[in-house]
Formats: sequence, C-alpha cells, structure tokens
Amino acid sequence: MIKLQNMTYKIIFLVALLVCAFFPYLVSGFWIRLLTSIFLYAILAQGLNIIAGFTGYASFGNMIFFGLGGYTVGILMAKAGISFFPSLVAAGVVGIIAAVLVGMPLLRLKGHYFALASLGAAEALRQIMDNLTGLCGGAMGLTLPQMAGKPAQVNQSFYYLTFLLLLIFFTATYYISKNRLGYALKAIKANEEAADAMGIHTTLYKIIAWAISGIFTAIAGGIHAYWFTFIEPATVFDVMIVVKLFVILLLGGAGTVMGPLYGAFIFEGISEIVWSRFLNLHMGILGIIVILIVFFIPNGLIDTVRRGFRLKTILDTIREEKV
Amino acid sequence: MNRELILKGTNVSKHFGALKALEDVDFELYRGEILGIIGPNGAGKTTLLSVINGTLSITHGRIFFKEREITGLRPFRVAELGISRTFQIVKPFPGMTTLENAAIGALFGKAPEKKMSRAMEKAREMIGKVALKGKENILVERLNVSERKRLELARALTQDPEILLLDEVMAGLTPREIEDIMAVIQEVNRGGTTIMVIEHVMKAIMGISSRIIVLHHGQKIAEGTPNEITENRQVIAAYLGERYSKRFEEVSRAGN
Repeated sequence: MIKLQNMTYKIIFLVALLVCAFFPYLVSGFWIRLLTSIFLYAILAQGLNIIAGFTGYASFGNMIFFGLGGYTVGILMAKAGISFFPSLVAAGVVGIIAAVLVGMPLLRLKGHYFALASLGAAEALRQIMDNLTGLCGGAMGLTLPQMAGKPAQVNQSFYYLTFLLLLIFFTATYYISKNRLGYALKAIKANEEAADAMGIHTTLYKIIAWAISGIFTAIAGGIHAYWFTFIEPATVFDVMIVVKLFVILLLGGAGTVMGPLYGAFIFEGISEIVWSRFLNLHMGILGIIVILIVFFIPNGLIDTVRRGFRLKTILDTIREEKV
Repeated sequence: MNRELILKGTNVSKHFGALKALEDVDFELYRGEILGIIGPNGAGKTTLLSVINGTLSITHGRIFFKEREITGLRPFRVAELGISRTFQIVKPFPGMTTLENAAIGALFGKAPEKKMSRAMEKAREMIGKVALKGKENILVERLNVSERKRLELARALTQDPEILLLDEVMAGLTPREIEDIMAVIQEVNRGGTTIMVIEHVMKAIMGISSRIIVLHHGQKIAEGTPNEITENRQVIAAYLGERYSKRFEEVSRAGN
C-alpha cells in the first residue's frame, strides 16, 4: 500500500519534471514568463525556508541578499563588463559574506528581536544603496545590459536557467534535511537550549543556515536583475518581497522540502487569477489570505490536504498549536 | 582507595540579583561513582547542574573537568568534552519523532556520529534500553510525561558521556517505572559512566548513590554516605523543620 503510494508520487514527480523540461515548446511566452517567475519565487522561498522554516529564525531581512545579489550582478556587468555567469557566482559569494557578517551579531537575538533587527538591517542597507550614486546609480537605479537574442529565446534561456537552479537548490535542501546539518537546524528550531546542551554549536549552525539562505536568495536576486535589466533600491529591498515569501512558506508548509514550490504555485496562481481582477484591492486580499492561513491551516495547505481536509482536523491543529 | 577526581567545583556560586541560588559550594565527583544531590525545593540543585554544563553562567567559583577548567564554557563545548545532562522540565525536540530526538544525541556531543544510519542504530538501542520500543516513529508531542522523561535519558545516553548529569528523571513515574529507570542508571554506571543525580524520590536516590550532597538555601549543609545523611540533624531540620529534628534527636537518645 505504502509502496504503491511511493510509486505514484515518483511517477507524478517524473511526469512533472518532463513537462517542465519541455514546457517552452508547448506554450506561449506569457506562460513561460509566469513559470519562470514561480520558480524564482520558489527559490527565494526555499532560501527563507532554510533559516525560518528549518531553523526557526524568522528573517524579515532576506531582501539584503536579494538586493545585494542583484547589485553584484548589475555592477559587475554594467560597470566592469564581466559576463553573466561569473557575475552570478560572485553574487552567491556576496550572499554568503553578507549572511556571515550580518548574522554574527544578529543571530544572537531570538524571536521577534531577530525578526525586527534583520528588517532594520535591510532598511539600513537600502538607505546606503540609495546614496551610493557613483557605484550603482543610487536611488535612480541601475540598468543592466540586455541578453542578446530574440525575446522568445531570451525568455527560454531564463526559464531553463531558473529551472536548473530550482532543481539544484531543492535537491541540496533535500540532502540537508536528511543530514546532520538538517537535524541540527531542526533541533535549534525545536529547542535551542536543549540543542546547545546536546553539543550543537548553535551560533555556528545558525550562521551556516543563513549563509545557505544567502546563496539561494542572492543568486535568485542576480537572475532577477539580469531578467528585468533594471534594479533600484526601492524595489529590491522592498519588505513586501519577504512578506510574500512568508505567505508562500505558510501556504506550502514551512520546514518542508517541497513546501516552497507548492506555495509558490498556489500564491502565483492566486495572484494571476484574482489580483488581475482586483487591482486596487490586491494588498487587502494578500492580508486576508495571511490571516486565514495563520488561523486555520498553520501547518500549510499541503499538510492539511494530506491529513484529510476536514474541519475537525483543522480545529484540532489549531488547538494543538495553542497548547 | 585511590580514586580519580573527575569533576571538581570550588566556591561555586550563582546569584540571581539579590537571590543567592548557590553560595560557595564545593564538590568533588570521583570516576565511577553515583553522586546524589538532594535538598528541599529551591535549594539550588538544578542551578548547580546548569552551572556545571554551562546552561547558566557562573557568578564566581571554578569548575574543573579532570585537569581542564570548564568554568564559563558554552554548553555545547561541555557536551563535546563528555558531560551530558537531562533537564528536570524535559526539553524534547517537538516536530520530530522519538527516534530522531534520540538520534540528535548520537549525532553531536563527545563522539559525534557522522553517519546517519549508525546514529539511528544507536538511538534505537538506547530507546530499547529505556523501554520505549515501539514508540520510535511517534512524534514526541504524543508521548506522555513518563515517556518523555525516559526519552530525555535515552537522548543523553546516546552521547556515551563520561559524566551524566541527571535532573529528576524519576519524577512523575510510577514505582514500577522508577525501579526500571534505577536499573538502567545502575547499568550505565557499571559500564563506566560517572553519574551526578538530582532526585526527590528518596528511596531511589538512597538506593543508587554511593555518596550524597545536601543543599539548602544554596549552601552545602551535609555530605556523606546515604546512611550518614539520613541521620544528619541539619538535613532533617532542612527537610522537616527544627522542631521535628529536635524530637528526632530526643527519640533517638531515648532509644539509646
């Protein structure tokens, strides 16, 4: 019975993989762009998942890495004339360095204090970038060179690049979750004091977690910058990015490997279907979704569906969470 | 008898503001023994364990593990040196199964197991030892108090520590379960692990300890074998009040 289910999952997974691989040959540009954007959000959400979902540190400052990744690629390509892929690797390195530097002081804080401090750090960085006019255009933004080729080809390239990185990052997350590192992170989330007493160097592991989060997020930021060919501090350091990512995580299930992908699909689906019709109200709808999730399905939509979508199960979950 | 001193504390003190939870406590732990710590509620027993393993910072005093000073070391360093503890108010890792909880012990600490499969194997063995077999794949949230207490012990045991600090692992257990846990503790001790144990269950602590330290209001008021302790006037006064201890003396004098 269980084996059969496992088989079914594997088959569904393989079919989904094949569909994604040949997707650009099946549909129009709009859908390719939408899926690229879903993948990008899934990568960003996975980055947040590592630190917030697995380790339990609600980082409201992950835009730091998104923005720095974008600016690393932007500055290297526009000002130094370096090509895209080396710039993207540099963005990943910058992500790690930033996570370690900001993490060393900030990850000593707990709970709300860390969330607020990380948000503050991102805001401070935005102000700095706003004023670095010489290097990165300041508040006016920075224009990147465009990828050569026809628009359709360009779209396809970005699609495959994001898809490949999605596969790599999600596989990496899967291995982390099954290994010593993942157990350390989960233990820190569950009870940091006990984790420490069990011999887990909590500060070190938290910094490692944020560094991984930093790589994922910075690389996604780099792709985003090259894809949109223009970045400015106000958009890449926007707190709404991280709010969206938290909604995605909550929808898909925080602390699970596949949660960010499911969440990104559901979220972008909702935004495409509903928000295009309620242009002025979309922020309000986002707020309502967050409240509904936190109230009724704190473990995420996927977990709730898996447990059987019954009112009683949902109510039980709520009660347990509150105990 | 030539006994090796494995853990030693001098003038160990812990103040919380004006409250002196521990004041100038000296203690020695010899390799292979079971040292019991008793005392009324609020005597400073748990504080003493927390200061040893680094969960709480020390106000003053020094602690040595063999030759090495461990005063002020972070808990994970103390665990890596080979001193593991359990918590009185159990601290399991919710969201994980019983097996995963115990495996964390094996994956970190003195001799960290790098291979997942071997860590799981070790965890399974210790879970069996504390009679939790069959509960491996249950989320810890679903365990009852007694099971959580035993898991706490199993998690510390997977670390194969040189010194095991036990904080009331028997509280809330049935007499039968207490006997089982006592047997496990003695077996671990025979295997070469030195143990420091806090316990309120007198029958248990008197039965397994080779020596006992009595704390009262943060100070050491007595130290000796279980028999010496049960007849110590100060200890009786601390537990049952001055009046009772006087009467006890009168009665025992009359008896003599």
